[in-house]
Amino acid sequence: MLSFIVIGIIQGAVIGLVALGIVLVYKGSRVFNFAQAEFGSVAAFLLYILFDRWNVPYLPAVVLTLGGIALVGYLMERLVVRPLFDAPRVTLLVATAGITLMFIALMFKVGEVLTEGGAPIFSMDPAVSGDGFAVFGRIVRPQEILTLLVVAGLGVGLTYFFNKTDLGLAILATSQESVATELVGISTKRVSSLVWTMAALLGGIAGILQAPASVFTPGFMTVNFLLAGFTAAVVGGITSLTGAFVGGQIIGITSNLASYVEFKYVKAQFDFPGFSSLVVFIVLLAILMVRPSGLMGKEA
Amino acid sequence: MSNRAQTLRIAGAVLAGVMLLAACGQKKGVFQGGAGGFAVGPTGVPTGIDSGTGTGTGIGTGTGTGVGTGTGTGTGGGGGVTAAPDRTGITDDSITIGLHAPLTGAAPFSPAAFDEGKDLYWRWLQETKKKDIYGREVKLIFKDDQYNPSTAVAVCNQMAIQGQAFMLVGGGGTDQINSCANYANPRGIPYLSPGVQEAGLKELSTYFAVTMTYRQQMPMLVDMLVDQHKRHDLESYGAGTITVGHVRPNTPNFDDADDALRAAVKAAGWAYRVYTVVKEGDSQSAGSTAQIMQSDNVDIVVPITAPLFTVQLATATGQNRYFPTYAGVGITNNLNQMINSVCGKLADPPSFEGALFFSPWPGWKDVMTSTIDPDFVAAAQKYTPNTNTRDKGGDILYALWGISKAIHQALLAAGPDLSRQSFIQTLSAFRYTSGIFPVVNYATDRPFGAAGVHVLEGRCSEPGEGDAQAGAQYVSHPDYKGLRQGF
Repeated sequence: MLSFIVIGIIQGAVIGLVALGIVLVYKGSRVFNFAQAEFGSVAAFLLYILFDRWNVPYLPAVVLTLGGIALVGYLMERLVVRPLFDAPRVTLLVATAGITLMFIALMFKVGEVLTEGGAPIFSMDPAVSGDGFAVFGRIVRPQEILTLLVVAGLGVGLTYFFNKTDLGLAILATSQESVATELVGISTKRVSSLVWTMAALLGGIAGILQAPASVFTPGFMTVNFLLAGFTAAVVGGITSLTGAFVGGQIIGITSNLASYVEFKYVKAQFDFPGFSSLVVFIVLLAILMVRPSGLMGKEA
Repeated sequence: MSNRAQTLRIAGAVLAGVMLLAACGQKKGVFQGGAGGFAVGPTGVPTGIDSGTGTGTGIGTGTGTGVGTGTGTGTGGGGGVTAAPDRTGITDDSITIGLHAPLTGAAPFSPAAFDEGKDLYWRWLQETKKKDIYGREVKLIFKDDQYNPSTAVAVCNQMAIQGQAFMLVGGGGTDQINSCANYANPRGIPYLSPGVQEAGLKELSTYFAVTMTYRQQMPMLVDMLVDQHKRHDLESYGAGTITVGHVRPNTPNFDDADDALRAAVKAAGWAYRVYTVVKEGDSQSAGSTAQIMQSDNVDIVVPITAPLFTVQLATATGQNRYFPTYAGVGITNNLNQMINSVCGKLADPPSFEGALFFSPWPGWKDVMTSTIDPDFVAAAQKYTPNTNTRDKGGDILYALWGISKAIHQALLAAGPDLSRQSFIQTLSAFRYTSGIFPVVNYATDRPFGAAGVHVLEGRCSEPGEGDAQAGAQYVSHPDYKGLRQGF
């Protein structure tokens, strides 16, 4: 059973990163960004092309990839979000879903070119290779250690950024009272651009950390992490950055423990596919019953 | 709004989400109902759609006598025919066939191989061999069903109505084949596919499987695994009781395969576990399934899931240095593109090294380096230069070739006076062998008439030979060359 907790912690880190991007955009624009996970898929494809196909050394390839995905986030804000800034939030939500579908379609086309018409299933070397070591029967690979370290580092860095820097405080101020923020000379539009760029960057980091964990296909981050990311964001309190990380861990560990219970005990008695998903949502429900604004959420 | 009221609203939304999730395991459009009838009368001519019993109104076959006036009266025909022969999709010079398969979704086949291969056989027949089917050429229309049963029904409807397809063919995907076959049956449309499930299909009078079904193959699979164990004392099976783990999707379409495998494994004295997957294509789900299989000490994994999930599962087991034997039946898990994905960078040694899969067709290398089907080799080299390779979907070309070849023989057997009814009547007593694909021998109550499989073995670094390229691929198993009907 402990091995499932190990898997949960590792998956929870990536879920937390996706949730963090969702929270960031929600705080900045009050929009649920359905394209958040897909930033990761796009980044994984970019890195695959640069590193695997064009033989760009790994670190420069990562830098170029992150630059590229940040640009995608910026352009998305300028071309889609900003023109719809005064539209109902549901319009923006649908727009982000549309962008997700567009990204997936685009990646299918790119995949078709990359494989010369073959099946669009890809694999990528990890950033750190090695055999790893067993923790409670689960081999923890160096790439997964790197994922945990990066997520922890981002947590510390973002906490500092939002609490100690003018730019971070400007973002927080905009999310709390945009009119007053404008009055003191902060451009909410520029803040919005910054928020979407940062969200894309976070999604991109999640994607390039996750891609070497298994094979990847167009839309793999949305399929694997979008729903979990939203759930984690809500559990943590949709406005709390720390809560996003905590929510990611809760969802990762809960879903894996529930999988263990499902396979080990529930299935022995009766057929109950989807048991683990049900448990995750019962946990979500229980948390919201006790703390309606999530574990760490504030009305901000 | 008070916190309590807000909580209740959120709880309501979450409960709705839970109910939605509970339905998520069941793919939209998966057909579970019974079958409509399309009866074949004693004269062999269909006698009614849906009711299964129609009564004759008679179509006259009289001979005229009015010499000089050009008029005459016919004498009553033999009766027994209620519906006029349905010649949808048939003209004096063409027969239209509709083909659906997943090019996107959780079982993405090579789009290029499908695009080039879908009409390879017909082009070779018509352009190179200059042959037709009683003056008619085959026109093929193709639609991507996105590995989604609802989409499959929609595209089958499009091909049948707008495309005026005479018959429909499913290329792969159990749920999609099941849904489309059940769409075709009450409309009297002939439907052919590789063998998948039996439940929900065996009652259909317009459905025919061109290869063995999962249920038929499962006892053979276990026999072969037992035989392999005896021959090689396979270490990877582990000590003590051998445990077989069946990984399957959460749809009832796999129940008969599950039952057959469970019975065969128990008869062999081995232990059986089943792992039902709700989200195919989800690498997290693959990771936890792999972990639980490892803790259950599963020695042999039999996946009947979307190929992408099988690849994710194999990657997850390999990354955890857990190397069970992968074995199975099916249509798409044994494609070279799948082993290519697993034999990559993600696990060493690769999880599919030595994997044993049943297939209706031989390994690609065996096709290209032998004389078993020289027509195919010539046709592939001539018409499909971009895809007739090991890693670009050459085996997909061959699979499509095999189905088309069987259809061709059936169309010839149906004769020049072709209709949907006459074609179904012909198939109901059709026997065909190509020497490569399994022998098919249908009867009215036996739409699953195929017998025999090829046994393929996964090799991640197979050397090249002749026209066959080196690299990861499935090759015919050295212990079981050619079509096998038993072990």
